[in-house]
Amino acid sequence: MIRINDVYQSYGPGVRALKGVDLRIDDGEFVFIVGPSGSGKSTLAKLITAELRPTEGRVIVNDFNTSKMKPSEVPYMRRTLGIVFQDFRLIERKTVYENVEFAMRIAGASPREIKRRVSYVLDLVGILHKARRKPTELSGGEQQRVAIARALVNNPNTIIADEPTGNLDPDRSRELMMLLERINDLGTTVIVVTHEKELVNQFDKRVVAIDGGLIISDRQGGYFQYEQT
Amino acid sequence: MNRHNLFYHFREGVKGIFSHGFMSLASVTVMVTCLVLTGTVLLLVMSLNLTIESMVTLSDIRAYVDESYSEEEAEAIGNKLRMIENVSGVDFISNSRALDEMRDQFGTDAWLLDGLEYDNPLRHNFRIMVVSIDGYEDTVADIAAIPGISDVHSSVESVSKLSMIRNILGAASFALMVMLGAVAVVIISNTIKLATFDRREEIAIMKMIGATDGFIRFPFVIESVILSQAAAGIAFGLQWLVYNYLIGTGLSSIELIRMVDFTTVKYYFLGGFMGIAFIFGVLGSAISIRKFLKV
Repeated sequence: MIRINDVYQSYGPGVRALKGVDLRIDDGEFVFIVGPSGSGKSTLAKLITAELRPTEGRVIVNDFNTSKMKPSEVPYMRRTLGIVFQDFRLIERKTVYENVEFAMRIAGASPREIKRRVSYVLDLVGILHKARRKPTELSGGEQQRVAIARALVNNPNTIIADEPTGNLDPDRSRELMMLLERINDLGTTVIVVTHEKELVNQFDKRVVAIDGGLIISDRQGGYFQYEQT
Repeated sequence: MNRHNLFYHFREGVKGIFSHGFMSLASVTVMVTCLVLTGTVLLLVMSLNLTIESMVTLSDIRAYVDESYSEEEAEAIGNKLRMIENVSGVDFISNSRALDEMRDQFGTDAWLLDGLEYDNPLRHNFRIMVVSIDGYEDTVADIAAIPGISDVHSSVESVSKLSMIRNILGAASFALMVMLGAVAVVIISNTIKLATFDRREEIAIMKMIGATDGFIRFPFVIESVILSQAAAGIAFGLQWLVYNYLIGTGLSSIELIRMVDFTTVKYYFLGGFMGIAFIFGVLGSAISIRKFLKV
């Protein structure tokens, strides 16, 4: 569960990215966080992943209070999340299998667990047949699937994807969203930060709209609901 | 540290060495140079120390007793001499024994000394051995201060000069060690910095997927430890060769000079090189990786 209470975020004097945000995301939800560029949606994502600490307010992610968390606790909090980036952020010198295996190794899994789980998630995202390839040998859509497999492999409570379709064409974007929907059906909370109106409108999910550092809409339905506000 | 990951960290550390081979070679070379230079100076200081010790042993202190003392009175002074802290042995030489020794030295010309036994001009004296050259001057002064001792012959001047040289060399070798140590740490740290810079993106990804600082740091520490231990091994072999070469130049054939036998100190040198190089390596990698961990 994620709880954000009265959070302000400043980047230096006079630059306020968030101005008193309150948000609660329960376990098992699928949430789109939408808004135009500079609205503060990526700042919100960074607060959830503890890349940023709130200037004011409280952020609780899967029982970790990131506002008060010690630096040594950050890795353990991040292991409860699966993070997917716009630019995939795969390690080029490692194969697909190694990229995913690596995340489990970090979490201290045994070789036996790694072998079993990595094959399972690669199969789940439909990329098992390319396990021995390097990321550079894959298309953008395939690379993003590997990134999702890596995010999933440690069985996180929540997956947070920041503009995951930013580098994909519309068809691949839709496929990716369907994959995230399937993962959500298996019980994982999914948070997608995006500005892609058409894509959001294809799914009947909770949409949290943010603009000027404030949540201006939070309701079930497509992006159009936000525009109507 | 998870036991499953030990092999992984080791493999990553080795890969790191070869991914920027030239810098690895440079850091090993610099570290070998630093260790051999320091080791050579240290061996010279040790040899000088040995030379001073042997000079003191070769030239014992001679303390001559006032001519007015009888043989019994003179011999009694020996007890006071033995009580001086740095004195390890006292040998009383009466004037008659001194004359006998002189006769032995004269050999076939000993007849020249005939008749002197009736009016012996030689004085009773003591041959005094010391424990250590440290405080040699004070020991000589203590001996001279004993009533009945009229004259003390010692190599106090040459010993104090050599001691001074030894102390200067000792201080210089320490300063050299500190300076070369700093150079080695900077070079190792630059090598690891290059490795971490090369993998900064990878480190950022690792941080985002929940890697602890220890997990990220470990391969780099292994890399620097491998480099430093390789340097220690090479430096040890090279030190042996360099030192033997120095001895071979004829330095040890000079009678007064005593050189340390490297085989008697080789394990200390190997251990010392490995220990110092290990500290340099760990310190170098710890300094360089810190800023890349702030994600």
